[in-house]
Amino acid sequence: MTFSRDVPRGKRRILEYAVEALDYLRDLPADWDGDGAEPVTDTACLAAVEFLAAITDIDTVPPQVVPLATGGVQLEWLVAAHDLEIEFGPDGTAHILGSDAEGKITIDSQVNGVIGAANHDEVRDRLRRLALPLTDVG
Amino acid sequence: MSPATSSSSDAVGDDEILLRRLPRARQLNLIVVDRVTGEERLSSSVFKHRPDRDPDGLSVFRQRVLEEQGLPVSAVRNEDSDAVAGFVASVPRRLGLEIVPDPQPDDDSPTPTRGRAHALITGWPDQAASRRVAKQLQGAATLVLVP
Repeated sequence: MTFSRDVPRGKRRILEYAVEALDYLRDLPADWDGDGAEPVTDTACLAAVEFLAAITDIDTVPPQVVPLATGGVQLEWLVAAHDLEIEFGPDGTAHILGSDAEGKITIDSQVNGVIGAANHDEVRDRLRRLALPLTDVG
Repeated sequence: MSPATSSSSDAVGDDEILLRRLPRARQLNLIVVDRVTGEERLSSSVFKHRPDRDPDGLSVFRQRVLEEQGLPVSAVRNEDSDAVAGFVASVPRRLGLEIVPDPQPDDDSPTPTRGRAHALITGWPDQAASRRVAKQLQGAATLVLVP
C-alpha cells in the first residue's frame, strides 16, 4: 500500500510505518503465540490503516502495532503513563479503551461496524492531548 | 513422580506469583514503550481472553511450584525472545476471576516438569467486561523477564 504525495510527509511517515508493521503481522503463521493464535486477518489490518488515515495528523504520536490471538490487531499509544488502545477484531469491528496515569479507565467505547466521524474526532482529540507531554519535552 | 503432585494441585494462595508468557515479545510489540519516560510495560493484549479458543481459561504458571521443581522463571519461556510477566494471584481474584491449578504431564522439553506449575485463570465475564479486566491485569503485572 502506498500513499499519495499529496499526503503531508509527517502523516505519510506514520502511515507507512503502520503499514510496514501490519504487513509483518499479516505474515505471522497460525499459532504464532504457541498457544493456538489465529493468523492476523487482512480485514483487521485494512480497518486499522483506514482508521489511522482518518485520524492521523502530522504531529500524531505513532502507535505500536500489536497482534491479537483472535486474528485482530491493536494500536497502542503510551505517553507519560496515559494510554489509548484501539482493538480491531478479525472482522474489522473496533473497540476503544484508554486510561490515565493512575490506571483509571477514561474511555471504553464499543464501536459496531465502521468507526464514525464522531469517534475519529474523539480519538484525534485524545491523541493531541497525549502528544502534549512530547511537545513539552521537545 | 506424577504430575499431579500435592503441591501442584494445591489451591493457589493469594500471595502466589503467577507468570504469563509473552511470545516473541519485542518482535510482536507486546512490550510497549512510553514515549516520554521510556519505561516499558506489557500490552493489554497479553491478557485478552478468547472464550471460543480458550474455554478453559487463560494459561499461567505458578512461580512457587516452578521453584519446587528447581526451575527458574525463565522455564516459562518457549524461546529466548519470549518475555515473562508476573502478578500476584490476589489481583485476578479481586477482579472476580478464579485461579484453578491445571498441572500438565511431564514432557520431553528442556524443562520437562514445568507443566506441573500450570494453572488457568477462569470465570471471565463477557467480552466487553473482559477488556477492562485485561486492562486492569496489565496495570497490576510487571515484566519480570525481558528478552
